[in-house]
Amino acid sequence: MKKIELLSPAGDLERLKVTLLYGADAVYIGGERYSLRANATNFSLEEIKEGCLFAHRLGKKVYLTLNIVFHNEDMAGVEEYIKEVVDASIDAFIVSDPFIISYIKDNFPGVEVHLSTQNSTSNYKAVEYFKSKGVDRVVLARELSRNSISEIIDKTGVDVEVFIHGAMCTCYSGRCALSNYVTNRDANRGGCAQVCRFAFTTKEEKKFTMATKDLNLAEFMRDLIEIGVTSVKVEGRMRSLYYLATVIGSYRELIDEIYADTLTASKMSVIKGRLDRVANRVVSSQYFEKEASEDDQYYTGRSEVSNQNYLGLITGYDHINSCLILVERNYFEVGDEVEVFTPDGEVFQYTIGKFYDDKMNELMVARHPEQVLLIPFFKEVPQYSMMRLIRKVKKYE
Amino acid sequence: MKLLIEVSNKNKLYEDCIDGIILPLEGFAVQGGCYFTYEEIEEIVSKNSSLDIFVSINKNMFNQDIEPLKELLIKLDKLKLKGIFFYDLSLLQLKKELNLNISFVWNQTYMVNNYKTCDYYFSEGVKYALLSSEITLEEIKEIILKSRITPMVFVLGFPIVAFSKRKLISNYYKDLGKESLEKLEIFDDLSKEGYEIVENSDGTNFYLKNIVNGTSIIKELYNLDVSYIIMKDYGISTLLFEDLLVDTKKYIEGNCQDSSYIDKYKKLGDNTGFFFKKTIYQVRQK
Repeated sequence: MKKIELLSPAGDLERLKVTLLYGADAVYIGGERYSLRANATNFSLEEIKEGCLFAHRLGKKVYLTLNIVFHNEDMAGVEEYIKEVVDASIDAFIVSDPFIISYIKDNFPGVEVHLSTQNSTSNYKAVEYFKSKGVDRVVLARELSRNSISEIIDKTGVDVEVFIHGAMCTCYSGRCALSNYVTNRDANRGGCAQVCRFAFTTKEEKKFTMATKDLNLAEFMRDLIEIGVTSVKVEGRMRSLYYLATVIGSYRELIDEIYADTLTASKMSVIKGRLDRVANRVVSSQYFEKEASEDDQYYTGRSEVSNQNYLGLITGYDHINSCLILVERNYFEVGDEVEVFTPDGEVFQYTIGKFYDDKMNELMVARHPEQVLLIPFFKEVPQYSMMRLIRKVKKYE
Repeated sequence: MKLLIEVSNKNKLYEDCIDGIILPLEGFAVQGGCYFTYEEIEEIVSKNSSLDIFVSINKNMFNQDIEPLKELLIKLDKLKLKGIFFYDLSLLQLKKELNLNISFVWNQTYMVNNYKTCDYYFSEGVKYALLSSEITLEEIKEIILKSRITPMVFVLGFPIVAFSKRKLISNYYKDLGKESLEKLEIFDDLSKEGYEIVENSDGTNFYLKNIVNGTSIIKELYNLDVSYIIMKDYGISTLLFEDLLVDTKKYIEGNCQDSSYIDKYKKLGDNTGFFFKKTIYQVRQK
């Protein structure tokens, strides 16, 4: 049986490399045009080439989102752009427009086309339609339950991709123009202003909100594997390096443990704990087990919390002083309990003792983001390893 | 050019002042002002042979909807309908599998934005397209001129803004600890716009509570030989809507020469939606 694919977002080349190193089997990226994240960094053609080269060397894949809802003016140049991206060795396009699907299938039969979730495909008959048009994979609507997903797979035999983690839209994808009306920003061309996270006035005493909790299907990964899902997808091309490394690393470990039949309750608890700590919103399983209900949304407007567990990125090792070289991100101090974690899945528990600035002046606290620090450590760790906070030092009055 | 309407009261169809009507099918349509059972549609068709009657089947379908949908499509195919408005692609698949003769209208709201995709659907056997209400008149014109599909344009009524599967009003009132309502008005303090949201068993629909008044562009659409313009009565008084329909018919029959028509309906407001307002999507300099 083919192993389920772990698909990660990547907003730029560094995130692409980091998520692949942390265990993603494939990444999805946006180009400088035609992507639903018009305000993300996005990839130039040269970067797409470099990303594909990097991924293919690891035996992994890169998919490009071409999933805006096209207006007349967007059609100018799209055919040339598709050719250029194919020449850059992309493995698949993620598309919502059926004209674009037919154009790619007619002209580049060797390249896969994945139907975007922007189509909110929610039944087996619609999947059959796209199968007949040569679509290689369907990213299903996020409104589907386990049983519905299973039935679609059984009845169509089409490869399906399911969102497992990250932010959710309140409305059906593709069926929302709130951003257009409230802010004049076109949601379906990449300008979504996330109006579903705004608070609206009503005649009642409390504002009306409709923001959803984030999705987290970690505890249903075994179900997803058993029902035959081809690919599980993490949301968040605009998320931080630390978030992606933690989420992708955690799901990599979870999937591998399930296939090896070594997943224990305590391992699951550790993985869930990591995912919980990196989240900036409360999570739920949304529609997977039951219809989404009042428990799956917020009633207080925007509800993100700033995550300060990410202490820094390890950029090298000072062999003379036997220290990790760390670029600081958040405050920490002597006595804090931390973890150093690596793209290979290794995790080292560590209590901050002495540490230094880049002139080897000893410090007690790290309080300047982007400052280069030297942390005594017994071994070198791979590039893109990171440090996260587990527990603050106990202080006694 | 024909005048097509969608109504919010089953008992008021304005048959004498229109060319056609869209009937949302109970259980299979969303975002309608009211819904009609198959039997009611059958009866309306039998009594109104001169009207172009379309049925709207525009909900997002789920697996359990497919078999009953199939049965209904077979029955609807036998009625003298002008066409079916569809959103979900399962309908196009079923049209092929069941060899349905009835014409289809591509009605994917915010997605009907360009001439090439219109032509794609035309090549798939779809005769009509209801163009997006979120594109400009210039974009509409380009689609009309370049596509082989027969265009329809929504010109008047509360525009539909979004649809969610969630029960957003019920959830809100559960949180408040109060009994829920079917409708709720919400207001965005920044844009100063109000929205009416309506909940039923399929989810929650959002209307902009500000009529799009496209009476001033009807002449241009007429000159472009648009086949159908659409008006919706939701939120408009019966008397006013009836007058509007009568006057619109006269205006069209007079080749849209009577400028007093436009002046008369300025009373419906000056919101021309996106006909003359282009949306943006890149807000950050690259």
